[in-house]
Amino acid sequence: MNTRFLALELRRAVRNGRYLIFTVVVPAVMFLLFVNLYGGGEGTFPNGLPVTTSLMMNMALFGVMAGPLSIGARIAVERGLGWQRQLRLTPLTGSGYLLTKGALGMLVGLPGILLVCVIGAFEGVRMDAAHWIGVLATLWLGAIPFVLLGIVIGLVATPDGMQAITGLASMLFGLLGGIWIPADVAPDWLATIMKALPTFWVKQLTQAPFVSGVNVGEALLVITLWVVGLSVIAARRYRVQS
Amino acid sequence: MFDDLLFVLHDRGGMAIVEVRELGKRYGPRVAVDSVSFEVAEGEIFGILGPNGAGKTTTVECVAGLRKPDRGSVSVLGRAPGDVRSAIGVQLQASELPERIRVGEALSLFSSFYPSPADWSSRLGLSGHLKAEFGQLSGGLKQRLSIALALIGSPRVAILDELTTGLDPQARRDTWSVIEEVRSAGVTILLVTHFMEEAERLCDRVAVFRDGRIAALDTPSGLVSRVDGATRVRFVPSASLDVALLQALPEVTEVSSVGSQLVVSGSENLLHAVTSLLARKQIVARQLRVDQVSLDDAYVELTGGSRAEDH
Repeated sequence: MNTRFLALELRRAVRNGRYLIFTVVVPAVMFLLFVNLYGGGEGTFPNGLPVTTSLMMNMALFGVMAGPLSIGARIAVERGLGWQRQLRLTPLTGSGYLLTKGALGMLVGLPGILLVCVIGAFEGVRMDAAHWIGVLATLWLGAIPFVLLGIVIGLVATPDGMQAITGLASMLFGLLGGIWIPADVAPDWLATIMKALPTFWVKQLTQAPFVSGVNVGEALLVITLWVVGLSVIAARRYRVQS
Repeated sequence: MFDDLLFVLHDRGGMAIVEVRELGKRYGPRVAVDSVSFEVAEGEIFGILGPNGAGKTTTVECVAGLRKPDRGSVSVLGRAPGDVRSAIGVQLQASELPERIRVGEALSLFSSFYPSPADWSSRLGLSGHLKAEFGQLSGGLKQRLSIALALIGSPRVAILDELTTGLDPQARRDTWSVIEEVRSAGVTILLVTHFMEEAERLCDRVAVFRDGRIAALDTPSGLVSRVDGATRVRFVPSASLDVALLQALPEVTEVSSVGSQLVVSGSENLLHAVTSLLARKQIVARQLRVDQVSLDDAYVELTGGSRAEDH
């Protein structure tokens, strides 16, 4: 992979104020808002998870989803400009291009997760070091399907349609994925849909060490299917456009 | 093995560096390129002229390896364009960089793609703008940046598509001297253009495209000489002159008179033929004027008067 390309992409992402707001600030602000709304403190949800911990995980997951989605979708804008065509004319390979965009999406998801978790620690989330590392790692690796989803949207959407599609995807995967409402309270048909989405299972994996009854195998299976499926679509789309 | 092949090609000098054979490409039902064949010799500036939709851009995109031809073949340095990507530098029509990317960043990024990058930034007058973002650059500077990016991999062949469209006359002239400098560095250039003046000034040979085919392929002056009555001589003879004598000259195609003035049309050597005749008859040509058909006129004739829809 071309590190100079990645470094430049990162600098461009940071230079873009909108990215910083949506992927770093918004999840943190939402988290603070919800903690105060629910009273935070000592409360626990029926599944035994402290309210503050649960909200922290959900909002970090929101950041994991929003950042990579928006970064991947910018590919649509670059396609519209002809920038991607120019890059294709260089010896940069298709896999080099896609891997760099993927790595960018992963790096872009990280600050949001860290900020939400740091705020969480201040708001009274307590767990041992191993669990902290586990939660952070799970959230971060959980970004992979969303990074790929962002890339696919970027390769499929037009520059004009990109915002609408990203917004829709964010709603779909966030709302139906169980970030905003728990699957337990959803009717059966809705729960079935929710359990087909990667968001739900990343959330399950993050909670796994603290609650009982998480089907880790099923979680990994569903997430892997999404990752493989989206990778294939991204690779195909990129090749077809050449 | 390919190194040997390249050596042989290179050694023979003047050999075709780009070969296009019966190229055809359609987009759905629309035929973009019908059947196009040409060769470009090493070190040449090869012009591609024609109205919009004549197949110019599609053709150079096939040469650049950006599109796959439906029919025919394209080879660059004797190989498929996709296999010699770093030997081809391309500046694409209407290609923009992201707004917020800086000139220096774009140059640095592109130089990371090639084993031995060439820095054209100072020769192209970009050194003072390295920190500027693409979105802030003037049209001329944007074009210079895109040339610098096209040349950064030290290509053997550079494809420049409508390089000077949208530039003011001064920036256009500056760009021309840049292209001449690029050629003198040994780079073969395919130049797609709308401007006759540009083709006349820069190109060794010009292919005029029309409806997905090449309507004519010649040097700029060769194209001009194809037009009947390419040269026109007007004068007022000092004594009466038998028009039949003029018409008998092989160089003359047409003679007419406007008042006392004679207007003689004919081929390139017309002036010499007419003045020799007048000298023999001891007649002086007063108010002598010579008009040459321009490449512009030749172009209009070759493209069937489609100049009007071309902008």
